Formats: sequence, structure tokens, C-alpha cells
Amino acid sequence: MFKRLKTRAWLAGLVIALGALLVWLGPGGPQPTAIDPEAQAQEPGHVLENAEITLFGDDGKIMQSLKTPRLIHTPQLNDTWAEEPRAVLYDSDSRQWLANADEGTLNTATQELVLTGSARLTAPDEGWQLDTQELHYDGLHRHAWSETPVMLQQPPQQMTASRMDAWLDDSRVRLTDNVRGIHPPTTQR
Amino acid sequence: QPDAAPQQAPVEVEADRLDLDQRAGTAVYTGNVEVRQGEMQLRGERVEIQRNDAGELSRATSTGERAYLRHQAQNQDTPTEGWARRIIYHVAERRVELIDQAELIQRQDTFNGGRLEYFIDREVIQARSDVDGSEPQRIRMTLQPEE
Repeated sequence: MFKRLKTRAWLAGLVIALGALLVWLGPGGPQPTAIDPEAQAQEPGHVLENAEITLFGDDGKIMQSLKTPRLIHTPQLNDTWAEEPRAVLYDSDSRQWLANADEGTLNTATQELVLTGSARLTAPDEGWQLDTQELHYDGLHRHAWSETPVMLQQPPQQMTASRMDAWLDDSRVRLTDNVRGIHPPTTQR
Repeated sequence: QPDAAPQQAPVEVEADRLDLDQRAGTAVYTGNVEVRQGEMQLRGERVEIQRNDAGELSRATSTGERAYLRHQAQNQDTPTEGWARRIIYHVAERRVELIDQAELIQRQDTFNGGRLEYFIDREVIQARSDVDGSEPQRIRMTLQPEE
């Protein structure tokens, strides 16, 4: 009799101990974890396909537009990543300059565009085209620049350099460092 | 008929910087500028190039203290060398103007004056004393007697 009581008491103690262990391991229901603001800021807001973004100046004039087969926009950062972007840049005379690359990021607040991977800037009105690896464009000041080697082609002449600046409104281009030019000569007719 | 090859050779330029102004239609190289076309070489601190309607290079104006010219004619042992504050290379005519403190050395003969003209393919040198915007600079020639 006594032995049976002892077994029962031992079993009850075991059950109580297990229960205490479970409570200790998994106290209560789901804990309210604090939202990490930094992580939230990185979260893309919109993913769009075959999209076009157009940015206007304060005066309502179109500044730049960008077409892309796929874009990811993160509103909190005003940041838009675009795949194979094709941009049209407008200067103060509303002339169009074309820019494209493998990928690009556009800050819709500062209007800065960064194109990377086989980046190309084309000036149809002036008949020249510039190729580089990374092209920056400040939409507010309409200044394009690159700090990676560039090749400027304005047939029949061709120039290369270590870096480049272009001021769209003034139609001025500056090539800097290791500048090489090849100019076919006028020949006597 | 002079060998046509040099005329057709592309003009190659090396420099620290190039400024293209599409509106003004100018292209200016600055900083250790070196221009080469075949056996002809031009150096200066600043070289402005002009192009014709087809975009071909028609004129290169080099300035410096002083700009330098070198041409190694195929049938000559020594190159013709020239210095001046302004050297203008007229590409189609293969003619070079050396203006202001101009000096040319061809074989052992030396020429100094305000303005010298050098016809590359004919190897002819003409000298004048007038210089735009400056006092005339007398012409001096030192010709070595044939041995």
C-alpha cells in the first residue's frame, strides 16, 4: 500500500516538474517584437513592370523620364532601382539627351540618376555618344559626369579619357586625364 | 607626286584635358599637348583644333612658351625642328605657320623671324617679319655652305 502511494507521489512530482519546465521554456503567447525601423525603411514599397517614371521641375517643365522593364521603388528612401533603364534627359532648351545602362537608381527627391553597366549618354542634336561603366546625372543642375574611363565618339573623331563632365544646358563636354583623340584629317580635294 | 600616305594618316592627340564646346564649335586640348600625324609632331600647352563640315580636322593651333614642331622627312637624316609662341598647322595644305619668336632649323640652316612658313612636303621655308599685335621681328638666316 505504502509502496503504491510512494509511486503515485513520485509520478505527481514528475508531472509538476515537467510543467514547470515547459512554462519556463515557452513563457506565455507570442511576444510583441519591436519593429526595426531600419529594416522597415529598406522594404520596397512597389515593384512594377514595364513602367515609366517622369520627373518635373518646380516650374512644371519635364526634367527627366525613365522607362524600364522592371523597377523597385522604396518610398521611404525616395529610391527607385530600375533594370535596363532608358532615360530621356531634358536640358533648359527642352532638347532631349538619351541615357541607358544595364541598371540604374533614381532618387526622385534629388533627381540624381546613377546608371551602371555599359552606360551610354547620347546627344542626338550634337551627334555624339559617350560610353562608360558608371554615369551620374544631377537632374537639378543638368550635369552628367563619370569617374570611370570614357569613350566619346563624334564621327569621324573619337576621344577617350579617364573621366568626363557634361553640362547639358551649355552643350559643353570636358574630358580629363589621359586624354587621347583621333581625328581624321581634311585631305586636299 | 608626294607620297599620299602622310596626308591620310589620322591626327592623334594626347593631353591632360579636352574641352568641347558644341555651341562655339571649338575643341581645345590643354596640358602637355602632343599632336602627331605620321612623321609630323606638334607640342604645346594648348592646342585648339578646327574641323570642316565633314568633321575632319582642318587646322590645329598650338600655343606655348614656345610651342614646338618636329618633322622627320623620309629622305633626310635629321628632322626639321621649329619653335614659336604660336604654331598653326593647316592640315589639308600640309603647311605650318610659326608666328612670334619663330625659329626653324632645317639640316644645319637656321631661320629666325616674326613669321615663318614651312611647306612640309616640299620642305620650303618662307620668312616674313610682320607679327599681328607685336613689333616686327627681323629675319635672320644662317645658311651652312655645301661641303
